Amino acid sequence: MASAGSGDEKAAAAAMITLISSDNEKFEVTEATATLSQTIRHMIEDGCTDGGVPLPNVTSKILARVIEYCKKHATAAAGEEGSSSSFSDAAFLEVDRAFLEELEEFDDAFLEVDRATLFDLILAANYLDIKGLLNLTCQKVADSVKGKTPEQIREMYNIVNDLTPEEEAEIRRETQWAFE
Amino acid sequence: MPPPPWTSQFGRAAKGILGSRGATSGTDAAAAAHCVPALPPDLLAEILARVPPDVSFLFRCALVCKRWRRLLADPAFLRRLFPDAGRSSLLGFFVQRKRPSVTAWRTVANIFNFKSRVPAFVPAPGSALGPRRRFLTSFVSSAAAASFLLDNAEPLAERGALVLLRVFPRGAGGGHKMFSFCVCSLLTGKLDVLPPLDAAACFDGEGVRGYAVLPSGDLAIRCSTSSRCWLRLQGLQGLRCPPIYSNLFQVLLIGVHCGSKQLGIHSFSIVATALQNWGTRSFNCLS
Repeated sequence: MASAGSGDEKAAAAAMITLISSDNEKFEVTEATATLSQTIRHMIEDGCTDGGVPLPNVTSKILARVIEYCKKHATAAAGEEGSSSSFSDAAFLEVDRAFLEELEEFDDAFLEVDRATLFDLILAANYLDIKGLLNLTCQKVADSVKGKTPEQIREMYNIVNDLTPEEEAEIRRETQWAFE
Repeated sequence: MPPPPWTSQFGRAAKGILGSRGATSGTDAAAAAHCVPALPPDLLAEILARVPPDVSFLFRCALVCKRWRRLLADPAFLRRLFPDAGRSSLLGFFVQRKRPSVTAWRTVANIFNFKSRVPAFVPAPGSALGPRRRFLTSFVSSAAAASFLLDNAEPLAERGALVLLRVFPRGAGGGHKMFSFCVCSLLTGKLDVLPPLDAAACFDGEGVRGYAVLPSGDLAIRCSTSSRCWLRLQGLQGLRCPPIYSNLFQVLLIGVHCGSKQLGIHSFSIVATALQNWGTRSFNCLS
């Protein structure tokens, strides 16, 4: 039993994937980390990852951050699978909770980036189809506009108001109560 | 595979935003101006789908720019935001202290701790108006004036979160001959008092047979010049309309003159916030 287990581990460790950023930097990651991306998972399933996976839409700076996120969350996923068999064990639950808290702290710290990086992360998460990362980054932007006036939102994200004064007046008149 | 056009545009925008705002040159500022619009539409939807689905905040978002307004008016996006809205259109129902049996009264009084005869609202599960049981007055923005007016008010019809109520203002002369109505929007808290209608002059002893309140969304469907608007009204019952968040509406009262065998429709409209008076149409039932 024990020897079979370690054999599996060796096989998993051996399965490394090379990701190539738009500026030609190579990143070696485990398959478990890479498959958090549905896009890469499908590539692996199709067996077309030999010689590396080129990602022409993602710069090395952003890819490094994305991999950092995936590594952390891949360990989290592995931890969940490991503990699910013994979920009745209170000690395990305690460990789980501590780990989830740590994960939340990691996510909070991960989001401490400027807006340009945040948007690049959204684009990368969308392109690589990483649900957790897309949810995390989009939620961050959504939280930032919460409770803001249209003027404040435009100011924050440098959006040009292309509504004509008539259109704006019409929306305001029809929905005046929303602005009171 | 060449990168999609928005990435290069976005790359430029990112540079513009990275530079300090005060020191940016004209071209950088112009590039920065495209920052959010450079996100592809489905990603803007991803972001706005995560803001709290508070209707008034969504209206404010619709004023940001054309792109945001288009997205927020997109039925597919709204279905995603309010997944329950299509499943059940029932917001809830009203209960009222009004000569109930003793046991029924006790049950109702226990639930609501009734102090007034204002209709009380019981929301349906998953109602867009929230899970809280509350008096009708709590929906109205000027609650003090409303509690006086809505005491003993009788809900008659509802559509698109607009409730048509018959009210019995104290000290109003004319007794039962004068009909007083008001329309309350449960979403906006607006309360419109309609001019009193002399029912005896309009309908004989049979009184009013039917009531309808039509939000502006329905008015758009209805042909205003039609002489057969009651037929169209029947047709409207089968239509499913999303709640219209607007303060424009029309009220219709339908009654029959037994003597003349005439069907009478009295309509009252508020269009573009200007009060209009009661209008009357008569139709021969037998023709």
